[in-house]
Amino acid sequence: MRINKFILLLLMVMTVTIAHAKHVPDSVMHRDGLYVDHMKIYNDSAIYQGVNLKLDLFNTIYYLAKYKTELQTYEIALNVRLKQRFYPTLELGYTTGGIETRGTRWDGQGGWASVGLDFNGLKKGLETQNALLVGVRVGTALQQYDLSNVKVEDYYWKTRQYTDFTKQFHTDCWGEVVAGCQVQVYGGLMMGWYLRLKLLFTRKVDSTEPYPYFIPGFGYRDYTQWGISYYIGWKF
Amino acid sequence: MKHASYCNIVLVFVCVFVCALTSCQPDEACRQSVRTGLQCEFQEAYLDETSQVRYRTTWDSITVIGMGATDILYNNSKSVQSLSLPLKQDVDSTSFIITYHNLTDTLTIYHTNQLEFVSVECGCTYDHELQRLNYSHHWIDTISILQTAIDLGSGTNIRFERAPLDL
Repeated sequence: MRINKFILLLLMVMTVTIAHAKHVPDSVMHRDGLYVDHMKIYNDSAIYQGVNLKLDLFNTIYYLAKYKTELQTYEIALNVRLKQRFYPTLELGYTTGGIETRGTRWDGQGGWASVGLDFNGLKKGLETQNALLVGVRVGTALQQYDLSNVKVEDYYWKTRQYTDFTKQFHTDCWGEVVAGCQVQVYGGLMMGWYLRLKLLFTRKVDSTEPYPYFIPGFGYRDYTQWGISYYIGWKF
Repeated sequence: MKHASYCNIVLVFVCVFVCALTSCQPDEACRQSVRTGLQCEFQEAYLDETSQVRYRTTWDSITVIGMGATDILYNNSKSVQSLSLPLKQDVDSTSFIITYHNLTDTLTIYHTNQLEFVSVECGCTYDHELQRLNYSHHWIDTISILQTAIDLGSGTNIRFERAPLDL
């Protein structure tokens, strides 16, 4: 219930953020661009039109709220604006901690990276840094983990024991379809959010390897996962 | 023009949500059982009306219980084509008492145990490797070893072969 309130509050903040997103006033454009509100506005013909460095707040705060310090995650993202339309994106993250599911505990740490491309659906215009984005990602995560308290049950001979798998390594890959927005708040300060649908490419069904049920950057191992990111960032 | 641009955006969002809905799949179903068992079949020779040798491949009535276990695996079961005998996970031999036509034999299976991860939901199981067999001869004549690997996907491991004295 507390988490639902938190999400509701965050959504309200998002809405207010978008509502207050301001447009930079129209200005005369010089060949090499100009500065408005301390932010560089690039020439219309330029391919490269700035870079955004962003920090994901949603997942960091959500994990802290839900798991306290047992499970922590951090993510930064970098996207480049090309021709006002295309945003090649790199996202990097790190997760550490432990969680328990059905009596089995996962303790691990791992980093992930995803690359992709966003497309700006808003009308072209150099005077605005706001963007309504849809895009795709390909992500990969490498983790080191322990699985403990895995049950071994024999239903006929009526024996039950538990076993641990320590110092395991595993790599996963997934794809994402994302939709969201980024808006200019003031000067170079940007905010934005993404809704993500993640599709796991490396879901193993018949593996006898003790594969992890939690994947940094993806979430619980399943065919699909939903995700939300809420960024604060700076445009350079 | 502006109207068309908004239509495109709405279309993209609709496509994303349609993809999301259609891509939902049920979670991996936990395997029905993590118990691996020695798979057994039966072959009994007999003479038909024309004195031709025929082979019967079903036990018409059989009772099986693990030695030391409380549950009966097969209790006077009829028309049994194959037996699945669960092996112990913590020791290297497992014994069963098998009764057929009111004759009782004891079968001891010597095996190795190899821990295998199945899933978080189902935990682990043990695969086995059949080493050798030891059995009494009240109704069992011979037992042929067909396959030594005993795991969730393995086929028939042993075959009970029986030939009445009049053959």
